[in-house]
Order: sequence, then C-alpha cells, then structure tokens
Amino acid sequence: MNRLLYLLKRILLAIPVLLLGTTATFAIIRLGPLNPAAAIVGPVNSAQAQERLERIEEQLGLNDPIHVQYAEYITDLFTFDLGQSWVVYPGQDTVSLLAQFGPRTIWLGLWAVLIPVFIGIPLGIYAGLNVNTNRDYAASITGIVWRAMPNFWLAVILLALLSRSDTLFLGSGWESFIIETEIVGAPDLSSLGTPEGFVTATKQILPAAFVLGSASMGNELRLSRTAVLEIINEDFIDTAQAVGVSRRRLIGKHVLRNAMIPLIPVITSEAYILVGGSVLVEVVFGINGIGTLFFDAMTAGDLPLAGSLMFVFILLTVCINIMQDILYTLIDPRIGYEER
Amino acid sequence: MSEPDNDSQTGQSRRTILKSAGGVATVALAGCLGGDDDGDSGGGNGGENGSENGSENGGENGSENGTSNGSNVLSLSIPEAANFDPVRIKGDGSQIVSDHVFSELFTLPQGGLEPTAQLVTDYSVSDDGLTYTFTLRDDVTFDNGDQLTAQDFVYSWERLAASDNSQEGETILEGGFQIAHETTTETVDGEEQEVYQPGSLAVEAVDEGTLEVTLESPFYDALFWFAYGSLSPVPEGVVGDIEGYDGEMDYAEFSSQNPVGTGPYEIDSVETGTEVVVSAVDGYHGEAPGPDQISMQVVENTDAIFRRAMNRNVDVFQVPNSRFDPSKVSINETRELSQKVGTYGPLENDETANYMTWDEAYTAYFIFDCSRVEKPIRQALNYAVNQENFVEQGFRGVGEPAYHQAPPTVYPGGKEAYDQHAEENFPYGYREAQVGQAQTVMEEAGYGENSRASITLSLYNDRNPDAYSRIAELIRAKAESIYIDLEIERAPFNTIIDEAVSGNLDMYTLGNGLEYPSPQDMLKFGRPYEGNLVRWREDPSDASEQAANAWETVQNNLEPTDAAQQARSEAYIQMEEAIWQDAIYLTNYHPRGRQWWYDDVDVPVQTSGFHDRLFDGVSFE
Repeated sequence: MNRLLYLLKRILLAIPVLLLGTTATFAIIRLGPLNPAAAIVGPVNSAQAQERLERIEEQLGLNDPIHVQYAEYITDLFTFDLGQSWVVYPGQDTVSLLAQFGPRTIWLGLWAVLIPVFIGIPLGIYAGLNVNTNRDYAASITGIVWRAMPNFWLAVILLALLSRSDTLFLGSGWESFIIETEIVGAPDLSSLGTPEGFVTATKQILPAAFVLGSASMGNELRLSRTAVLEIINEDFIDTAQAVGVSRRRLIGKHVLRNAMIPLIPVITSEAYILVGGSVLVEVVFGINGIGTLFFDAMTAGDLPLAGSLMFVFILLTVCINIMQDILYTLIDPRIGYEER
Repeated sequence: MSEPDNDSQTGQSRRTILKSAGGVATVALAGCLGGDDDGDSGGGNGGENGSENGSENGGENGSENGTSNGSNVLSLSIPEAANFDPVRIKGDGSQIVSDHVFSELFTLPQGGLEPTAQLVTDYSVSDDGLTYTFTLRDDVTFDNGDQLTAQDFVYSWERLAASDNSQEGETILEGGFQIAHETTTETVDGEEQEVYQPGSLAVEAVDEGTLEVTLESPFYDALFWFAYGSLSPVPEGVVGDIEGYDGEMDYAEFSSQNPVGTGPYEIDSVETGTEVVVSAVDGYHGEAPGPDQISMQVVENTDAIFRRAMNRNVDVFQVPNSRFDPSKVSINETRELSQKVGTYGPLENDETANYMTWDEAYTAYFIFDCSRVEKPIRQALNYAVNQENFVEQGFRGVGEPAYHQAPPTVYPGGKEAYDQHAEENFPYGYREAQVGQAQTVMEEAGYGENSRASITLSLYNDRNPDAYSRIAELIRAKAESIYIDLEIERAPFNTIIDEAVSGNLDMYTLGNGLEYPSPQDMLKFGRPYEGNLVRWREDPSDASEQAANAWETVQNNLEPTDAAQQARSEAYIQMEEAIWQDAIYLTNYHPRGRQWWYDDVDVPVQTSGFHDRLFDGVSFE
C-alpha cells in the first residue's frame, strides 16, 4: 500500500470518529440535565415565565422528538452548516466566533508547544549526554518538579509572583519589563506583523504559555534523556566512534536523529493542548480563547456552539494524527506503510 | 434575576433585572491616564454627579466641557460581553455596555428613587391614568447621527413586543404595567396560548416630537418602566426583525458589534469575547461624561481581576469573597437609602482603598415545594435557623439577614419599619434559632428520633458556591437535631431551574432581584397561583387564602393615588405575614453591592441596585 492509499484509508476511518464524537456531545447536552432554554430565561417563578420558557424551547426546536433533533444536528454539521450560538453569544454565527476566538488559542498553544520543545528537549539531551553527573541530576529533578506542578496551581502562583516582581526584572516589574503590558488579558494579535506588535503579543502570552507547557516540558525532558541514553549505548555508536566520526557529527547525526523518533508522538500530542487543555490557563490569565468558549458553551447547553467546536476539535485531532504518521516516515525512512 | 454572584469562576449569570445590573462583584474598573501617549494629562472633567445626565436642565449641551481634547481612559473588567440588544436578556457585562450605549425616556437620579426625565422635556397623564403623552427633547441624536423621533419608539417597542429576537416582551405585555395591545391564539406544543398580535401596540407617534402611549390599566410605577432598559429607543428600521422593515444591518452586527443608541457613549470597537471599547459621544445632549473612553476587558476569573487591582492597573475594583476580610472595613457614612461609604485596608499592597456598599434590591431564599415538603417540616426548619448566621458565616457579613420578601429599601416604611415588623412579628425567632420550638413542631406532627423526615436540599454550584456550601452545612447540622435528614445536592443554575419547573426538587436555592422599587415585584410570587414554583396551591390553607385576597387588593389599587398606595402597603404586609404562617420559604439574605477604589479617582456612590451601572460619573483626581 502506498502512502496515498494509506492517507485515504485514514481519512475514511476518521468519519466514524467524527460521528462518535459529535454524537457524544449531542447526548451529553440534550440527554443530560442541561436545558439551554432555562439558561436563557433564568428563574421562571411564574406561569408567564414558564410560557416564555416553552416558547423559547419551541423556537430552539427542543420540543421535537429527540431523533429528529439529532438528525438535524448531524446533517447540519456534516454539511458544514454550523449554525448560530443559542446561549453564550446569541445570534452570532459559530464560524465567526471560531474565527475570533481561535487565533488567541492558537497563539497560546504555539508558544506552549515551542517553549517545551526549545527548553525541555535540549535539557533532556544535555542530561542524557552527561548521565549520572550532578548536572544530570539537577536537570532531571527540575524536570520531575515541573511535571509534578499542576496547571491550576502554577497559574495562580505565577500570576501572584509576576504581580510582585518589582525586583526580579532589572529593577522593573514584569509589566514594564521590555515593553509595557498587563499580566492579565488577551494578546492583541492585530499587529503581529510589526516588531513591536509581535513582542507585545509574545510577552503577553508567555506566562500563560509557560504554565500550559510546563507539564510537557517535564515530559519531554525525561523522554529525551531516556532516548539519548538508549541510542548512545547502541553498537553503531561505538562503531561510528571507532571509525573516527567527530563528536559533534556523532551526536547531531547519529544520536539526535534516532532519539527524535519516540519524541514525535509526544510533541504532536502536545499539540492537542491547542484544543482542549487550555481552558483553565485561559481563564486564569484572562485570555478568552476557544477553551473558554467551549467550556461556557458546554455548561450553558449551547448545542450548536459546543457541537461545532467539538466537530472542529475532532477534525483537528484527526489531522494532527495523520500528520504525525507522515512525519515518522520522513524522519525514519525504515518506517513505511506497506503491508508485510 | 439571578443572584448577584460574588465569587463565581464561570460568571455566566443571567438576569432579567436591568436596573440592578452590573453584578456586585464582577466589575473592576481602572482609571488610567493617557491613551496612546502614555499620558501625563489627568485633567478630570466634570462628573461628581455624572450619572444624572443632566436631564432636568432641558437642552443644556454638555459638550463645552470639551471631551475632544481629553485623554481620560477608564479601563473596566467585565465578566462577559455577548449581546447588547436592549430586547435581549443579558449577562452582567453586556448589561454594562448596554447601559452606556442606550438611554431611556426617564432615569433614576443619583441618591433617589423618583424617576426624572431623560429624553423628554415634558409629559402628561390623562385623568384616567391610562394615556401618557411625552414631548421628546429635540436635541437628541443617535450614535449614527439620526435625530430621535417618536417613530423610533413605535418601532423599538414593537420590536420588544413582536420580534423573534426579543426575550423581554413581557415587560410591556404582561404583569401590572402593560401597554394596551391585542392578542391572538396560537398553538404551542399542543397547548393554546394567547400571544401578542403584531402591530397592535397602543403606541402612537402624534408627530415627530410627541409620543402617546396607552396602558391597559393605570399603574402607579409606570415611570419606572419608562426608565427600564428594554424600553430604550433604537433607530427606526435598524434591523429587519419585525414586519415592514428590511433592516439597515444584520441582526448579529447590530446586537454584538454595532449597537446604536442615545446614551452618553458609543461603540468604538468590539473584539468578541475579549474587549469592548466605548467613547464619549461628541456633543452629547446631557451632561458631558467624565471618562472620554471606557475600555472594558472581559475577565472571568476573580483572582485575575483581583491581581489587576493589587497591581494598581485598576483604580476601581472588586475584592472576591474568598479574600474579603470584614475586619478591614470601616464605614464613615451611611446615606438615606442605606448606601454606606468608608475605607477598606490595608490591602496586600499596603494601600487603603475607598469602599462603598449599597442595597442590591434582591432577596435570596430557599424555596420549598409545598407539594413535596409538608408544613411542619418547613416551619421546623424556619425555627431551627438564625438568618444572621447565614450572613456572618456564609457571606462574611456582607448583606442583611432576610425576614421579609421585600428588601429593606422598598419595604413599606423603609428599613426601620422592616426591622421593627420582623422583630415584633416574625414567628420563627428574629435573629435567633429556636431549636426547642422546632422539635416541638416536629414531634406534634408525629416525627421523632425513630421516625425521621428526609428531604433533599439542592444548591446551585455556579453562584457563590463556597458561601452556599457553608450555609447548607449550617442547615444540615440544625436539621439533624430536629429529626430531619437533609441530603445536599449541587447542580448548575439552569439545571435547578429546569428541575424546579418539573417539580422534582424539595428545597432549593433561588432568589429574585426587583425590577422596580415596590414590594409588589417580589410578592407577585408569594401567593397561590398556577405556575408558582412554591406550589402553594397544592397545600391550601387560611394563610394561602389570605395571601390571595391581599394580592387581589393590590391588583384593585394600582392607581397612582395616596389612598391606593396605603391599601397596597397594608396588603403587602398581610402577604408577608401569610407567607410566614405557612413557611413556604426559608428566607436567606438581602445581598449588598460592593465597590472599592483608590484615591486617584473619584467615584459617585452607587445609589441602589435599581440604578444603571454607569461609569460616566467617574472623575480623575
């Protein structure tokens, strides 16, 4: 089977996954105790208000038989008619909401993936190359501590720390360090093209990205250390050393490239942070992105919005998975998709 | 009409009550100088009483105060910003935006509850109290430049009554205040319902500047309703959601990006879910607002809001309940409607901030479903608790223990009469628990150590969850000793509502914010009628009959006369006593709004929960 066929097969297999995920969302919202109409109306301590509740339920189509609602919901999603939000942003198209909330989360996720990749992996490799030295212990312990600190705790602590950072950043607090920003708030992505806009937006997102990436940073550190250790004890490394390959070339070409293979799924799985894991950090740092939007939509029973977001999340996840498989073959040509 | 939430993480509160909008805890406001220029100019203009909008000054034009050269930018944290359409039910944040962009015929002045003219120069009422004729100011323009005319009201109120987008139609179609209209029968869900007949509203534009409105029946508090947010004018034909109009813009654009009103501010920019910036209207017809620009950022998390305050990026802010220390409060002044002003400190940054609280015009209670919980159990629980403990231990001393349905500000005779009547007549122990009495009631009803009653208490977990957990524990401990096994359940607000309507709950948290300052707005729920969540009708008694009769008296005395008012006041008290007698509620507390600010800004004292949450009166020191 060649790569293209494999790809097609993967895409076909994604359809049931999509169906299952969106069905689960529908079931949770419509068969659970959440009533979006009640979320809109509020207390209904009178006959009139209860009539109003019924009218809104009627408007939203909540009184139709459940299979009719389900069929309509699924047809709309799979024809990419994502509809309008009911409760959270009433009357607004979910597509335009996605377009407005998405970039902030992507910006956050991007840095949350980059920070661990550029700090965790080098540290891990460093530890692996200096195994069982004090430097290794220092790096490893740091990694374990990072891994152990929960997001919600770290976020609050970092927020408090940065607020009282007057002496930490060259005499100025974090807010006025390099460029004036507030600690809490969404980054302004409208002027990313200009150097100043880029620095501002980056600085604004860094604390949140650091928190979001902290667990992965620990993971990647530990994994890359192990991977380097494993490779470095292989026979072919000794052979390469024996034939006089320089240390730089040995590490760069023979150790690192091989050590990368187990790291790929780890890094790509960090990319899921983009979609799901950011709710808490977004809320604490006041970055109103997709995570917050999804959480609000789910708790308010906003079916069109939550359903569409779920649909998009699953699409993203499936795409990332497929990309990951393709990446394997690029890094290690021995991996193929031929049937044996 | 959700409960003002002091400590929520999610903050998706919904309330139909417009006048007490601006959730007590969810607003933090910053006074920062300088827009782009990192400025040094702090020239505060105007505004120690800016929220009045200078309506009684007729055509005075406030623009000579020069908003154009200023650079006062207020930065404000709001819990959400979604939909600003006057006819939608809004969350606290959207309401604040809406309050600044829209204005109504009348408004509540600072320090008082008597509506004063805002968009009108004059008005008259016909002898039968039915027809109101308003002469509109001729110097009012919408943010899009159009002049305000009577026809705009005809359109706006028809939208309120007939549009599919409207969720507030009952403000003019149902209840004591009704604009005359016709109905037609429609079948919804197999049941026949009377619904509004489009185009039948008795609102007429006599000429460009004269508006005539006919009510279904006379109503003493009609002027309040003309000051109510849903009745704000929008330019005729701005959206095409009622018959006869195509709309100048899409509904989504109008409601979430570009609302057009006659208020002191207009929309500058909206970044959905993140930030709304409004600017002072050039040549605003009322008093020129203090801040030239108000930048409202959406921040849901109370910790984040608090951090910004402690960093002093914000000058006006909230302290979340979890960090509130009652011993840091010192009150220097108490005003007529029980607004209190003082200081709070030291804060963790060693500053001492100014502090104010006001009556939110809200009553929080636990509702019993009378068809599921029998009277002796309801009475015993009322005996067993002391409402003071709810406030002290649950809400850290912020709020008033509740005994009546009507909050102190609107109780006939005010706070003094409220306290006196409760002290003399509350049967279940005023500011004390009477466990012995509770046991006696239970024993007389056949309960005892070996035959215990059991009920479930459902709490909402998205409004003041910590406070309610503490209170629920208090109640459970007391219930234990009076032969009641109390099981505690937690659910989101909208689930509780849904289950309550279906009649599946024994006892649950709820409350009601008043829309206009009369006990009637609270007591409309305190009588046996179809659809009442208390289901008093299913457990009839002399008391329920007394409440029904007293309500009848109220309904027969809605005219704006002193005699009618006297009759209403007496009937209100009869209803309160009937409610006590059957113990259909376990009253909890009357929350108070709170706000803190540093010395850099001068903030007008918020009068009451009925007033718009406006920041146009803030000035810079």
